[in-house]
Amino acid sequence: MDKKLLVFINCSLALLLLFEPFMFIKFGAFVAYLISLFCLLTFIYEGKEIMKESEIARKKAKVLAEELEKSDEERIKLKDEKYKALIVMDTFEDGVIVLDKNDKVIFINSKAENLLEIQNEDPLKKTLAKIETFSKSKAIIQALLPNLKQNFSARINAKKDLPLDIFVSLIKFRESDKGSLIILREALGNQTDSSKTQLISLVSHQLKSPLASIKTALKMLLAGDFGALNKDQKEVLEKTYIKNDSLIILVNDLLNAGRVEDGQIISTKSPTNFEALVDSAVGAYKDAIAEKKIKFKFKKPEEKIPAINIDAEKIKIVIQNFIDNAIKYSAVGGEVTASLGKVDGNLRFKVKDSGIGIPLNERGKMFSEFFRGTNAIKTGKEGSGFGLFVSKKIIEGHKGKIGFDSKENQGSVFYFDLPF
Amino acid sequence: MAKTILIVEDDEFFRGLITKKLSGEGFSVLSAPDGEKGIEKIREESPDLVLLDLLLPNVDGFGVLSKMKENPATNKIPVIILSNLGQAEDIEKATKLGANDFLVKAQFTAEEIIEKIKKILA
Repeated sequence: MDKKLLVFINCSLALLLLFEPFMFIKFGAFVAYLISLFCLLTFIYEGKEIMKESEIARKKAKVLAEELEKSDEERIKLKDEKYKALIVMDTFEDGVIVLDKNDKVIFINSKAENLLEIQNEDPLKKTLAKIETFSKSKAIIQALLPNLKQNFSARINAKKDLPLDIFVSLIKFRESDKGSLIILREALGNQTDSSKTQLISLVSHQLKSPLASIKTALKMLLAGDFGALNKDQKEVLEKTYIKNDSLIILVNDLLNAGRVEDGQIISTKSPTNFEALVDSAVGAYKDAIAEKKIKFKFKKPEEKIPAINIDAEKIKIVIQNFIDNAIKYSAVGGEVTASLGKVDGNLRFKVKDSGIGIPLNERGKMFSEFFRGTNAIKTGKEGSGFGLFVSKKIIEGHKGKIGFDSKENQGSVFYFDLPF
Repeated sequence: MAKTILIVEDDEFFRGLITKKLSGEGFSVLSAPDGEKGIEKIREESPDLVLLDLLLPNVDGFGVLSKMKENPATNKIPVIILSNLGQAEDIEKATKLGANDFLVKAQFTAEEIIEKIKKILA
């Protein structure tokens, strides 16, 4: 009931009671007055109660609103955190994939998508087995598939020149809600090595061309193609020619060392006449032998050596390294003897010299990269410290054995054995 | 009549040296600084022998070789590869394409190159 109407009725009855002349109406009006007064009082009381309740409700609402406001902030904050985390994961250098307990992808970053080569398909909520059907890099998935339910790591070759380390770790989101985290990491170490090798290779090729021109020019000058030379001019040019040749050898050593590190040192093997190979290797040193008045001998085997399956180009490098060292570290007029034979069913080639020999305490390092004997350095002869290092790699690449025997100041014998 | 040798080589200095050496030996020498001009000269002049570098601008030595071997008018001209590449794969590839010989520049002197040429033309 309306509160104003009730007040109006109540007041009217009160006036009627005061001014009404007839007693019997007075009594009725009095009762009506009491009732309406009661109603009014009740009404006022209830109204107060309601007011109280609404006050509480309002307060509650206010608190709730505040709470809501707070949680909104929280939500935004959370959302923001999640967003940041996603960006971080996406910027990751490594490929990251998260699988749920059913092996379905719940997260994958761009790097992983790139590595799996699935840019045009959506991998989310799909199993790896399903993704394999449209991935262009199936090797990765094939390596992962049998290993999703255990902590696992392996290095695989997803592609040529792209060794990839893959890791699987089990993760627990909640009790009974488990998944797997997959990391795909490009083996960067190898990449750096490979670019270093590429640089060496590039530089070496760029150096080889002018060095070859210089060699030809010097040779022609020496041969008198540009007119006769006097004794001094000839001597200077001869020394320049020798220096240029040692540069060519150095560049070739660098190239070969680069290939060794690249693991490409041995290419195609073919049956080779070893005697002819030694002859052709020695051929390159006929000038040096003549100039140093070296007594050079090639003791050919008594029994015929059968053709041997080798990478002839690489073995020739080893033969030339042996001969080059023997001549370089022998005195003028020294003796160098190459010999070829069979030992224990293997082919054995050796080169004996009467040179400076190798100090006892340095013998363990002879085949190390960049190593040169202290007495060898003292001779002032050029050397890269690569020759024997590369030689060892080449012989080992043929499952052979390389070694030496030496006495300081008396000479050395270097040999290698190759299986037929 | 003097035999004609074409040298296809981009290194001007090296080209000049070989040209001088060959002229001194009585050969008539033509030269081309890149693969494209090499193919042109081979077609137009039909030299008696071609000295061919492998790393060349435009068309590389392998390209020149396969082009001249495709053409019946030039496929019998002997070719000596003269290169800094000396890997077994390169030698094999050039030999397969029909090169007669393969010399690594830094390992052969001009005299040895002349010897090879005389042997092939004999």
